Amino acid sequence: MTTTNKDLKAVASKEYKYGWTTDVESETPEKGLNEDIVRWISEKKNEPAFLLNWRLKAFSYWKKLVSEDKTPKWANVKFPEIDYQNLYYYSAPKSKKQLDSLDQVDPEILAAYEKLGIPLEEQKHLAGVAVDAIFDSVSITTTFKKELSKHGIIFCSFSEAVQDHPELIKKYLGSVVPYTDNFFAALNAAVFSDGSFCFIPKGIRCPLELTTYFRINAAETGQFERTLIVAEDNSYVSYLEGCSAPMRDENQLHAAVVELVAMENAEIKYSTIQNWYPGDEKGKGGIYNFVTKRGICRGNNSKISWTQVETGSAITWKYPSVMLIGDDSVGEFYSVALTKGYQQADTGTKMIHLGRNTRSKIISKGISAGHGQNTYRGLVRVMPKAYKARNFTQCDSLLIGDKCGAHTAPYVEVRNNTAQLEHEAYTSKVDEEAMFYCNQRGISNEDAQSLIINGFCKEVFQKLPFEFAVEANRLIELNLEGTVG
Amino acid sequence: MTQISCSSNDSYRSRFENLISKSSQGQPNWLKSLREQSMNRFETLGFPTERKGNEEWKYTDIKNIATSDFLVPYETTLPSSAKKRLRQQGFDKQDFHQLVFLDGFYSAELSSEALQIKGCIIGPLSQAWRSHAVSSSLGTLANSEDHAFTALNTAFTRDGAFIHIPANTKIEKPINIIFLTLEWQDKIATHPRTLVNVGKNSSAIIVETHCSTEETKYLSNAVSEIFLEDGSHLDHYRLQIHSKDAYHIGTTQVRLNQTSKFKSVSADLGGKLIRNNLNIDVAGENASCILNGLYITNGTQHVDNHVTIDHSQPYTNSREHFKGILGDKSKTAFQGSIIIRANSQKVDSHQENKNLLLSSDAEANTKPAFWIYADDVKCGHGASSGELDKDALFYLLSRGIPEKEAQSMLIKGFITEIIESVDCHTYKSHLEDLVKDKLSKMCE
Repeated sequence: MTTTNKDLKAVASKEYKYGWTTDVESETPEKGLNEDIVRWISEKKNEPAFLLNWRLKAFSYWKKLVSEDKTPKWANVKFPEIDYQNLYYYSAPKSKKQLDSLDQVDPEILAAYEKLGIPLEEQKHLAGVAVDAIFDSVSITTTFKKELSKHGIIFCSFSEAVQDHPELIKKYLGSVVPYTDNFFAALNAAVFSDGSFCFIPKGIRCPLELTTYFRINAAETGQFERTLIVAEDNSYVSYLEGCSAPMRDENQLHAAVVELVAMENAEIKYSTIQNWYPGDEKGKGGIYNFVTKRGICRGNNSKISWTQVETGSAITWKYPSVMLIGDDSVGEFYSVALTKGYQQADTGTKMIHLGRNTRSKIISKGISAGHGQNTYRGLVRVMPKAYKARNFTQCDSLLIGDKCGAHTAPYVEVRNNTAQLEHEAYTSKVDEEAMFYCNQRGISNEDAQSLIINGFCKEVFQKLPFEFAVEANRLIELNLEGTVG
Repeated sequence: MTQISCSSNDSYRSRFENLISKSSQGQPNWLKSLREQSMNRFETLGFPTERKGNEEWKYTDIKNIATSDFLVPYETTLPSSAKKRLRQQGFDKQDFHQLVFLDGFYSAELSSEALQIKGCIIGPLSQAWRSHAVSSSLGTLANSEDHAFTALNTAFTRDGAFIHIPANTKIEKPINIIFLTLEWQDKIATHPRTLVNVGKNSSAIIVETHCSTEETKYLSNAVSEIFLEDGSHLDHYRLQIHSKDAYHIGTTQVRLNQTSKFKSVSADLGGKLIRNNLNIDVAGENASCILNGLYITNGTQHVDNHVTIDHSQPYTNSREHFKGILGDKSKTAFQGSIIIRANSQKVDSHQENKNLLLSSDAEANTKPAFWIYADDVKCGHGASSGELDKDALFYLLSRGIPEKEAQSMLIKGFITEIIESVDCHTYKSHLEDLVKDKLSKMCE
């Protein structure tokens, strides 16, 4: 344990290691947002009329929100007002024609993913993981497509899905997160550029882990992607997303939407390792990560499980939620959120119990260091028809240093007396006695702290797919290096 | 915040002018200008009726208060119903040092005689407007700037209790402040005000009772300001047994200085729409507070408890425990906020809210929040909601206890710990009776 820790630390410095940029020519429209840009994006992607109409409706709704000054202000985060007219809404690496194989991808981009540790060449890759790689606004490539299509699984970029399976897009797009849902969902619906689409047909257990890797490269660009996962009856899928961005002095906006639909007996496991650029040690720059994620357990016995490790972004603002409609359906949320430097996170979940015997479990671990501000905000709502609904919530916070803050704002709303709900939370600093015990056994302060934090997050890391659990652990360690004493 | 219709605001203004011209004779200038300021502030703020994005009033809609026309009551001769009600309540001048207010006016006849302790004042505010102790502290703790109901109270209050305990004094007899609303043809509004100052190393027990003679419709908007000097100790028991059609907004502001101890036990049994704000400023090192509360609701009652504890000093601690029993279509809310400011190290704080739902139409909302800016602290909170424990019930049934009885045993057991935290024997047995009464009505 100790030696591996040391090795890791020798390899990586404390600084954000994904902060480089890739030099590729990209295609962007003018800065700013207006109806023409929305039309331009839609045309660029050769979208059917229903989608363009949907975008335009979303855009006019968003404009209405802006004119009524309805930018959400309730979250416990502080940032200067965003100038939405001073952003590029689309950026794609220039390519001459449709790509048939990986050989035709810009070698610069391939190199970029190689550097991130995400190999896109199938033969070299770890067995059992299919990757959709998204670079700025567009999907570069999706691996293992053929293999997956043998099972009838559709895993491709959103734009391809719009061309190849418009009927599925039409049916499910906005069915979980309508464009009227909130300010950023409306913005995303108007200008979303790409994302991943995944469809698991009836009775299929997806043989591979599916992964989307998001990379922001261009400057002054907002990234707006949309992920849609549909799991039909009796199917199973495990999906993971990872993210990173170059170091830039200005803040960049990332407003994504993720929609999950689970039908009868289906299970979706969605994991996120979010490592967007968090800004420098003085709090300059970094990504604003304003994301709407929601799953809907539509069928009986379905299950949606969110696992997230949030270490990056200047500001994280997201609440992956589950609507438990089907009887006996299950929602889970496991989260580790780390804020250091001047990072701010306001994150948590919503579990809405509508069906009978629905169950939900929330485990949230917040770690604050430096000047970081970490807020857990969660809602558990039991509607009148949710007989025997059950919820267990635990949200613990760990404080490292006296300049940081840890906040908890859980909402519990019960409208059915047969429901059983429990909520527990605890906030403290790293236990001195535990540190002493480790020291006594010859473990240095830094290693002892890392051990203790590891233990603190264990419950969540255990829920990640194996390879990523290791990565998540490493991320937390690297991020907390130098915070002892 | 949106304003309610202008006509209603205008009616508050005209009633205010009317009140000032009639009753401000003999009142000092500082009070007149404080009232004027508060009235202006209320007009600016308006009632917090906004339903969207209004976090403070998220679970409580006060539209009915904002749109109702409440008249200002005048002082009446003592009705026999008031005496009867007090007798019914079982409050005895023997056991308590009693201060009785009828519709917000002091009743010397029903109140105890003045206490003969040097420097100690237990009496009506209206007789102490000119004292320095009142002018220097009234309105300094209760915030009229942001809270419309506090502003309204400051503008309209006629009287209330003034309790001033000098240093190193122990008041043995519990003080019972009773705010009684009488029967009126029209809806009235009362704005009772309480000011308490417990001197250095002194201690006292205060019971604050809000009740009415008949089941009438009215608004009771009470504000209490409580100052605890260094090393002092106060138990504050608050009992709300208003009429089933009454609206009640109760605000209690407390400031704790060094090593002082404050204990509050609140009980909400009556009323139609109840909102309590309990705000504690833990402003001295080693100060501590225990805040317990219980609410038992049935019919369409609505009870919202809003508790804020602000730890601005190190080595302070707080315990908060609220329990509710909900029947029929009643709705409750508990919103607790604990703030621990930067540098308030070594704070130890815990909050807990538990709800027992006896009916499938009841609704319990809970938000126990923490805002922590210091690292060396211990904070925890818990919340739970559910129905009676089936296993426990089965256990009792298997021992031959009839179902009704078993249920009532479990319900009683659920709230006993709150009632047990009352340290005043006479009040405790009184509270026990009231709770038993209410529960037997609910379980019929």
